[in-house]
Amino acid sequence: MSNICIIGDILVDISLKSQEDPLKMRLGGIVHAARCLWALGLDYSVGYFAPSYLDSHIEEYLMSRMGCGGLCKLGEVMDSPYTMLINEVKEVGDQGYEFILRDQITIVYKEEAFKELMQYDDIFLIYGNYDFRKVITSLPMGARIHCDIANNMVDLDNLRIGRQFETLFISTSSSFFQKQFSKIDSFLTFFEPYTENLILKENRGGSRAYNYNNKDLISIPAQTQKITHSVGVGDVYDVAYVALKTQMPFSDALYYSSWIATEYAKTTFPNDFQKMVRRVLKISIEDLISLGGCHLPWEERPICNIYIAAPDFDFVDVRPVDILVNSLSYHNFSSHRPIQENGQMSSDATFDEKQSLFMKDMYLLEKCDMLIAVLLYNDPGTLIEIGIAAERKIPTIVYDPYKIAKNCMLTQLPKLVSSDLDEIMSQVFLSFSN
Amino acid sequence: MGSTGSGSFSDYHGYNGGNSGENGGESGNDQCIRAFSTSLDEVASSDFYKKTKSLPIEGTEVIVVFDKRLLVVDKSGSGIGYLPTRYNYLRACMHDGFTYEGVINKATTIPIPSIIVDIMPEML
Repeated sequence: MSNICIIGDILVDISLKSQEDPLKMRLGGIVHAARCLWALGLDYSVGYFAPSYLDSHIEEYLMSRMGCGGLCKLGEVMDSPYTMLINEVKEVGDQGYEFILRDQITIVYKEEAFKELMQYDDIFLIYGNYDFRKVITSLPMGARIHCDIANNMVDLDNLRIGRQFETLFISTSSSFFQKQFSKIDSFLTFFEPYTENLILKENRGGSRAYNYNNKDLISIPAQTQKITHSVGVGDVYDVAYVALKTQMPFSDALYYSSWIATEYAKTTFPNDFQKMVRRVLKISIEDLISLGGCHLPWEERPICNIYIAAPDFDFVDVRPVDILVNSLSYHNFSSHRPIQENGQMSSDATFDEKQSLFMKDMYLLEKCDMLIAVLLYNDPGTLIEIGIAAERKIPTIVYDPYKIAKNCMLTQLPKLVSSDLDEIMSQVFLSFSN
Repeated sequence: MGSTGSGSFSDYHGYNGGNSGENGGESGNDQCIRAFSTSLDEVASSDFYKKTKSLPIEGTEVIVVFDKRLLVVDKSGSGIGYLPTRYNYLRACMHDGFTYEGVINKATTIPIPSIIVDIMPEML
């Protein structure tokens, strides 16, 4: 009998072709978690919801390739191809997930199949399109239930089922978090009636875990490395924790899970992932802790003020600036666009008007903790601001979307020059990390 | 207009269709065997700089060792700076028999002490 059962939707993830990356199509949903348990070499089973056209693919992939010990279809998905189009795979900002025909989905439940769930002790669910209450109430009373509620759940009504969860996972990108979070203490109280542990995943800023029995809040740093994608990475973190917590202390399982999730983000090739997971598990927990990582809680990010140096004029195509600022906002940083805040100089501005704008911009720069320059072209204002910031020892990063930086003063003075927004965002997190 | 197609789910070991390099279970690119060049962290507080108030010369041979973090040392064992945390995965590689050595590519004290190293992997 398999030890862990993963329950949830199985769909098709399609990462759309971009300038840098080819199109990639994979089985998604709970299959990301399945890949993790396979890489860990553990027995597991899957209870899933999917349209019938995927059944043979799912069986072939999970049973023949991914070491799944038991497969049970819990519901037939109708009226949707169950396909997710992913516009931006690295979660630099909002990823633009497009779930095709999501509003049309109907599920025909296979009542007999639910009886098979009675045999499992550890059950990990990913909240999805299925009837959550129906599934939870079908689980054996003695089972340890762990659930990721980041997807779809907008209020707590669905947790009021009379069942206690062992672990609830939520992320800073979830709509519930975005609407309800103000302080960590008050956020934790929302879930106290329903779970023994709450794990809050904060993207590149690490994660926090709270045990309601011993009132222990612990922080786990993120391993901020160059990634290939972020699709399903949170699910991998979750299920690695569920699997490992039976073998080691709570906090240690979270450290290993964080590292394993990072390895998942670095590749879409399962055997590459498996190889690195095996290597990671050889590292002692003492070493993992001492190696550190990035820790930057959500609520601490707004005090990180970032000056955006760019020719942000109304006659310039500033879309790269918009994308950068939206990404910073998505991760809760405070960015400042001096031209928007202080005004755009007119072509016939007087000396006094120029002086006034100059002083306002310099005052704004002085208030900021970091400068990110966006090189749309060789704009003198942007280049001078880079020099001023670097001389003042304000951490300086250059986002160079068109790869125009050639001059050695420009390439060597900043902490980082990159055309890769993922790399820029990682550097922002690392620079402000506690 | 014609169309393109995504033929099959291809991310597993043994897949032998489609475009090579994008499908199958492994990429063929083991991150442990990648050489890299990087600036070091905390050069000004390194043992070498604190003792000598100078930096080792360019071309000096260096080794990556684990001393609570990934520390770059010269041949005498004196620390010259830490690898940035984005290279933390090398600790996992070391457990699989890889070692990392290289040379100082650039060392300067202006405007602040900083070192760039070129690092190559070796398999024991």
